[in-house]
Amino acid sequence: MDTEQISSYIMRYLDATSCNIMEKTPVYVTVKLSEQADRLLTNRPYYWGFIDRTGTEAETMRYTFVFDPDNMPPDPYRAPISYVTAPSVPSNPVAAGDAAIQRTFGVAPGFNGGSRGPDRIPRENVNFGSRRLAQIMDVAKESGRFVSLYESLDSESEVQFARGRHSVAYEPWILLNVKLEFACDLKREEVHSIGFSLISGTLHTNFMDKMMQCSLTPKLPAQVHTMTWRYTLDQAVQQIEQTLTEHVRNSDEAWAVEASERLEDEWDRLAAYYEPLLKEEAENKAKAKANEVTVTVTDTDTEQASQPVILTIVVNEEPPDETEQVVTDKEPNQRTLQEQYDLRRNEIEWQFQPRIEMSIINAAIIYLRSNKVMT
Amino acid sequence: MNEDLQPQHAEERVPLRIDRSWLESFRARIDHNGPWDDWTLFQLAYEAEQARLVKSFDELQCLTHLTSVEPLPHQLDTARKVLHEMRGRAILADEVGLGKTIEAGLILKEYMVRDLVKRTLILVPASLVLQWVRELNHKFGIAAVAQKKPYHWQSEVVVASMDTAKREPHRSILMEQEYDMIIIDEAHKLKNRKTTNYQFIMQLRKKFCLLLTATPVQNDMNELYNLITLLKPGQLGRHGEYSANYVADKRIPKNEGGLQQELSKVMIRNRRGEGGVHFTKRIVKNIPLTLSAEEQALYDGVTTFVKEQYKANGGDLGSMFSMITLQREVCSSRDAVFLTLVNLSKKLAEDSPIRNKIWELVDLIKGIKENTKAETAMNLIREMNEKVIVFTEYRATQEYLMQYFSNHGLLAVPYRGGMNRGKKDWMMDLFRGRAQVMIATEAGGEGINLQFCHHMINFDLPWNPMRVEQRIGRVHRLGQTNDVKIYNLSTRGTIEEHILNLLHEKINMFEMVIGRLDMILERFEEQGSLERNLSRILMEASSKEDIEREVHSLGQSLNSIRNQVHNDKTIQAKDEQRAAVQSFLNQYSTEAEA
Repeated sequence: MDTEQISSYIMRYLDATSCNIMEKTPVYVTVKLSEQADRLLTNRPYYWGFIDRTGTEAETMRYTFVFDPDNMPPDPYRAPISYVTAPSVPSNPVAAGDAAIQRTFGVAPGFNGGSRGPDRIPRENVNFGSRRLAQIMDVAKESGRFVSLYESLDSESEVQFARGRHSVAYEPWILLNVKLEFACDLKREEVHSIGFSLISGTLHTNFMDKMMQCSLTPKLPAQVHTMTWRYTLDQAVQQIEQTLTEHVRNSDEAWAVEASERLEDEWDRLAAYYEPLLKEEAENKAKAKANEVTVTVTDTDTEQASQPVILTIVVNEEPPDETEQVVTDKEPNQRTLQEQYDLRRNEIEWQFQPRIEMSIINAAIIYLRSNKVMT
Repeated sequence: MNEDLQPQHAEERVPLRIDRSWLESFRARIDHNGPWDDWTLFQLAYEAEQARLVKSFDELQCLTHLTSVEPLPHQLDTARKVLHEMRGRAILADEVGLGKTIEAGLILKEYMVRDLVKRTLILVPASLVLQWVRELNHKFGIAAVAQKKPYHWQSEVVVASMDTAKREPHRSILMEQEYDMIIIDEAHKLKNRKTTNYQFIMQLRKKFCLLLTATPVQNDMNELYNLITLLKPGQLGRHGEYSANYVADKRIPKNEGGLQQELSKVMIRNRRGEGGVHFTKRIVKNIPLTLSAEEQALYDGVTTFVKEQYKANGGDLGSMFSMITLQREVCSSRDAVFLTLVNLSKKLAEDSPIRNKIWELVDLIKGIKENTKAETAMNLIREMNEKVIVFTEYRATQEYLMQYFSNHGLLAVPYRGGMNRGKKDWMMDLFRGRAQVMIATEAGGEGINLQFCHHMINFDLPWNPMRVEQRIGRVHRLGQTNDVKIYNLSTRGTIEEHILNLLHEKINMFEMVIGRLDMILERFEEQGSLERNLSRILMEASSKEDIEREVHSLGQSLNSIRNQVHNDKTIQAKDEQRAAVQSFLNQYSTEAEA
């Protein structure tokens, strides 16, 4: 997204949420948020809890969102007033110069206390990759999930025409914006936008792009009636899913084959490492048991006989590091070798297992004039 | 898992899951004709998804998301290699100063952009926790938090110290988690598999894992094996196989070609002077200056006073801290001396005879009209007419200079350790934007990266060479495109001249390769710190010639250590086996496999 696109994106969001624009330039916008936007963007649950319980009038936050940080003039509120050591006894010719410097640094009447003054408007960059832009996008995704819209009759003649014909029939369409994710240890995504007519059963791709060029309204226009559905919602969804499933099955699966091979290779590597160790452990246990038996036989008469001798098996020949704490006893929640092996196997599967996921970005029901030609 | 995610087409190779959790909610709205969302927001939701779409498996997506960091070519190559060849499990073993943190940040960001990593655990030494949090937040826009309270473990990206994480009750919490990514800085602490550190990491559940260390092998080939086994068990076979195939002796590798090939699958080591990593030159200029008669009188007065006190104290250096400070401050500015003198006299009894001596010195200070050093510095700055950072050891000098420069119409901003993060960043911005000069008292610490400036003035010299190196490191670092010019102000006939002589002429430290100095000092300081040595010389010398002689011999011992460190043969003679491991490691680098 370039600066212009971001600017347009933010402005449309602020507009849609009825925020009050105070100042707008190509570089930044200063805005007083609406209640709706403030609740979602400022992360002040305690403040809003207080407002809701007491019924006080809310004071929403103001922000300056910067689209183009490189061309942003410095923040006048953030001048380093207290860091310029003021000369204790200003001699006359120097004093004038000092005053000039202080002015440049923002030492001026009405200075409101640096960064924490009550009038200060926080500044935030909303360039691509910034957290604020990501948050606004996430909030938009949460607040723009389901819509119901009607094509508007835009010109007077159309309205006249409609009046003459008594009523215009509108055909219901289901629009699904779908995200496909092809994932293994890396990922690729596709977005599909499919419209399905509940009257004719016709499918259209890139439906969202077409709708964005139509004039749509949430209210049913006058002199318009909607046609009765011939397909159910479930049938529509099923049709769309089926189309996309076919698309998935016809797309290149080389990545998935490679990922599965990697998974097998990694499992083989783990097996080569762990299985001999497990075998060794089992053998040692068996040996220990055998020893235990012989010990029991030889020492039948002594008291210690009732207590089996436990052998500690030293597998590792490395000397412990002097500077670091060394495991002497088994930690209470230490995993056994078998558990470790299983853990590693699962991690590898988690990492490489190829999978495809189909999820909905948002869904709409849209009523269009029935004879509208879809191109 | 979501029960609405139903596996489809079980007979196919790749499972396809279709999320239908939204359907009921949509149906309900159709049935009740509402509530409906806003059409603009609906479009914005769609556009957001389009803008953030990951279109291909291969391309680095994170670059479009990064605005406050410009990765260097070797860092990008490393990130690509870890993502596409090592599949997210790797040892990043670059030499010191090449930006392992940036590489790790790039890799983490890429996975996060692709939504393959959410929960991340970053374990680092306690002293680096905040620095990591800052870098991830500022440079990468990753909302990392430092672990302080137990609930912080639930955050998506947590930075904690290894020592905290491995202790109860934290340990039990972490054992229950599934981490998409674990990053461990200073991972050479995991070289011994009998330690709790090692065992702990082995037990954690993780998908991707990055181990960062500049020294993957220190003195034992097993360290390398342990590190890699932690990352990918079996990559080098079982311990016995590894020993048989690659280890001739505990410290000597064999079949180096084969081992390097295996290593190149899990370890990346960029080395200085390779692959586009290039440091510019350091150009040092000493600016000698002569004190005015009044200033010289103060210097002599203070020196005599300090020596008297030292003798009166029975030659005990330990209790002479403020005296030594005084001796050092007198080289910096009269303001610095003045403050210390006043504080000193406050501590003394009313009738102490020393008080009179102090007031005599204060009278000397009052007699001084000009400040030769400040004047010289200002002329220098005017002459170069470019951004310059001035370093001083003393707050009083800093404030004096701020005032002096501003009186002469030179725009300067201060920088000191006591400022909080926000102020520091703000000062940096101002320096980058409008001020020509930054006057800094703090050289160490993180976050002051001034690659846009390539002039620095040492207004006074720290007696600890590491601090000098830290100062230089602020401007002479990766990303600096100009040769760095270092100006040392040295006052004739003072201790400063001797120290400069020692550091510059004798051991040539200003132009030394990064990372070399600490090795030299480490060895030297086995016999006591350089600062202490200097103090003693100064206190005990009876004449100028005495000082010269003593400093000279200090220089010679430093020099011989330097030659040892420089000369690989000397090291090898001393510790041949250790060197074998090191030289193997030196050969090993990302380029080596080509």
